[in-house]
Amino acid sequence: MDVAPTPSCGRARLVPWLMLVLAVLVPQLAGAKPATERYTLDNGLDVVLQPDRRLPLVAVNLTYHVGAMDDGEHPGLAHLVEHLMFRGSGELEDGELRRRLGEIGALRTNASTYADRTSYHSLVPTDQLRLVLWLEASRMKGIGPALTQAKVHQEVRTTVDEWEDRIESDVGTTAFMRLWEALFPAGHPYRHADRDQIRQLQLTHVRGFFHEYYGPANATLVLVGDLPSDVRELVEHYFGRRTGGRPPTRPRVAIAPPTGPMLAHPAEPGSPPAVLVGWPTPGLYEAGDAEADILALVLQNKLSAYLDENEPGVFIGASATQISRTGQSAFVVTARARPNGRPVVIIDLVDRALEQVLAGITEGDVRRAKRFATLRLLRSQQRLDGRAERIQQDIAAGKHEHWIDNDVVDHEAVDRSSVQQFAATYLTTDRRAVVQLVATEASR
Amino acid sequence: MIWSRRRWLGAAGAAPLAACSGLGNDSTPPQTSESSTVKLPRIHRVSTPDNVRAHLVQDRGAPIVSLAVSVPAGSRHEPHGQAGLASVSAHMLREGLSGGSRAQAIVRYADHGASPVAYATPELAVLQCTVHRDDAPAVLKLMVANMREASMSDTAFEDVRREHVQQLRDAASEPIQAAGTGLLLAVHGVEPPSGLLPLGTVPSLRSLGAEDVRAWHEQRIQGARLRVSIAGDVSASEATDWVASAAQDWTPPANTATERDDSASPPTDGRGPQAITIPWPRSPQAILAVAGVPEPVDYYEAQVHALATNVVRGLLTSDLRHRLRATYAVRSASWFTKRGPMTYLATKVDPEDIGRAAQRAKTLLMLQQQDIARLDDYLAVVRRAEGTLLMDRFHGSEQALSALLTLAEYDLPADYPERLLETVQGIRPKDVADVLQHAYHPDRVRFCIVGDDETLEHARSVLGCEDKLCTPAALVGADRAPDVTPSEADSDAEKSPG
Repeated sequence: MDVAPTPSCGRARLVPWLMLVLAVLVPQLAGAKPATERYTLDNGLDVVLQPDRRLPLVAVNLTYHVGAMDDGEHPGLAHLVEHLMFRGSGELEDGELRRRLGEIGALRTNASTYADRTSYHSLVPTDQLRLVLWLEASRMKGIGPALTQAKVHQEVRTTVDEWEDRIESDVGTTAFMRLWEALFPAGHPYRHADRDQIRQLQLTHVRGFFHEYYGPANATLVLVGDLPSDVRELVEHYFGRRTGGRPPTRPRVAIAPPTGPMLAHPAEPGSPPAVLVGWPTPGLYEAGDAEADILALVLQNKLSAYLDENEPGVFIGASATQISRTGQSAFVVTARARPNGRPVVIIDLVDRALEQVLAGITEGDVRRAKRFATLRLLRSQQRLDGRAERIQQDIAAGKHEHWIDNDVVDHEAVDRSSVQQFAATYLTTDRRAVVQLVATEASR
Repeated sequence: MIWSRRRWLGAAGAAPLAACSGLGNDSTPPQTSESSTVKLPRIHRVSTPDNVRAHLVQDRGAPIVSLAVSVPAGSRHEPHGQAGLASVSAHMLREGLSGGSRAQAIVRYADHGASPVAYATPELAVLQCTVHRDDAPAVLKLMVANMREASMSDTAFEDVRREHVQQLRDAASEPIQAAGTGLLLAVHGVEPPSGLLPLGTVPSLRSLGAEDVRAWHEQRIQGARLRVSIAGDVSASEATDWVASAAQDWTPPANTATERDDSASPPTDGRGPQAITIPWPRSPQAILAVAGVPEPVDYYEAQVHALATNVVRGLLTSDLRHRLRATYAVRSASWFTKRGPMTYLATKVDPEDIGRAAQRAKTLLMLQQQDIARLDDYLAVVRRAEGTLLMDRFHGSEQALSALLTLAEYDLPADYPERLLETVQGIRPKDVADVLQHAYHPDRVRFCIVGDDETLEHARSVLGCEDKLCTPAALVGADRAPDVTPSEADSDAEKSPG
């Protein structure tokens, strides 16, 4: 895969002295860093403990460093395994984990499959932490006889239904999936599994996947909250005897141009026409990622305002976002038009608006976007489960548990010229994908 | 298995260690505590001038503060026929202040990293945002000025009204939301049913003029007693200073009409049909939605209704999963309407299963009338979980602000978390059974089915009750209003790129 040039803003050279300056200039950081302990058990389990005594609660987040990008020849497998981990594993019966957690008043019990990890998380009363650690450690023991082919079939159906429910039943999401497919073509590790691929999955695939990757040597346990004084003993006791797990071998993901021409997609009757424009952009925490974040925030404020002022009555609104992934991200601009808008013209208007807004970005725009970006990072830290999740995200990206501080510094280092340099380098018309939601007769 | 010397020594050492620490064998679950420690937040009533009420909850999780200013100018105070007026007026707060434009207002807030949202609930008009604690005093001042001096231009009004119409259309084109709106019609018999929600209806929005909004703003917002809610990294004394400084120019209430008026919204005056059917051609899934008929209850009594709804939800989920092998969860959603809250349950099913799903729901509701024995176990779990749930409501400044706005919405006392916990701990199986027998009695419960013609026919034959066919457009009144107003049509003709 070709690698596009990176912006020549020299940000890497600036970081060390910026860290010193920002410690004084950015009060947001002061007092926000809690004491955190990180260590590794003999069996390889990575453990992060972060005390916070606000409430008698603990956020428990156990993450296995294997995700959808590691599905290999069986797309959808990581997500299916996530579902099946609630259907009986180790000594646990089908549904026992959820039932027991419910009985002790645990909240937000769920799991999430990302490209590079699978996280199991809940928010639990401190008094009940032992049971929760026991449950997670039992689940890590392995897939037992409780998991049958019939249950695999059931969960295959559930994941297919989820796919239909979340994607197929909403025209906007379907259009976004078309854009994603253009940005991450067949064979790309970030390509999503489709229904037919999910239906091929079998119990043997699940067992093999679990056996390879679900073990302490490929996991991080993060506990944030009102931790008991013997928390280290508890972790050692419940997880110390687990074995196995290895990190998957991954292909290096690098930026590739999108494939295919502009795609048209019919809108549902009654829903307004829209265009989605996507560009491949630098990966999470790489040079250019922070510029993309800031630019998205600038556009969030300015693009709709520009369109309202210069094309009144044509657009409902416009938005921009940087979807950061390790190795390659996606920068997406969406514009929804009023029902009388014709897509071929909408894309022209959006192009013109982008050109004008990008040329007119001021230092003030960038300063405001940076403030908002810092605030967004702080907001992610207000809850125990938010902190645990952020730590897991950073560790999965190969960073340390306090990487949020570096992230603040990276965002602070962005300026108008680096944002414009980023846009000139990456947001060009020859390396983008466009999906149009075409108005049907009924929606005009 | 061959045990090495190291392994034997390790095991020999580990056994007494485990025994001493009381951790036990790792293949059996540890004993759980009978109850968990609960630490409820302290809600401070901040000392303020006469014209303002303020509440504060501290949360030091991050150096941020969530702020809300509100007045009792919510949708249940709207004059008859002007549904949506409160929501449009609230959204106008974001369209500029002190005569300036929306873009200028965005910049004034963004200078502090803030991006406020404005909305109306049934009781309140609210402006809220989250900021760094260092920016909070200035932003609070800006928010109060914003409430007092919103720009209210004709152009902004047209934009906001157009956005409202689009939001209504979006809501009607999402099947689960359409099902919930359909249930409003079934429960209250009001047409179009979206008129009970803050967004209003398409015809009522079309009938509004900019002068209506300006008059509403002057009477109900500028002339009201201001409520300030603050949650986050701030002390009571700091909050007192911030509020005093921000609200010093706020005019005291002009008259008592802007105070809480519980007679403003009449109770349910009629019942709709027992089932609503909504045609949805080519839909890959059908939707079955159910609602009990709500009784007029206060905030605490409503907890019993919520538990009863949860019981039905649990039973329905389990039943559909086991008997129909349905995989979709039964979701619970709440509408906060002019007639009080309404919670409904909705699930997606394969279209061919809709008849059996409806039959199962009906049978289940009949069976559960006789079976309250299992409620004991359920309530034991609820009592345990309630403390954690309550703590979570105040966990993080943004979540805590929502809890403070609940206090404002229902005019609750500062110790409402304690009272709520007490209420839930005191609920007996019979209380829940009573609600089940009244609100979820098979003769009174309401159904809404969404799907293609065949699906609807299937469901009708099983439910065997009076039903009303209602299109998605009719739910929001879009079937009776012209698609655009004359002024919008002119604008479209001028600007249409086509």
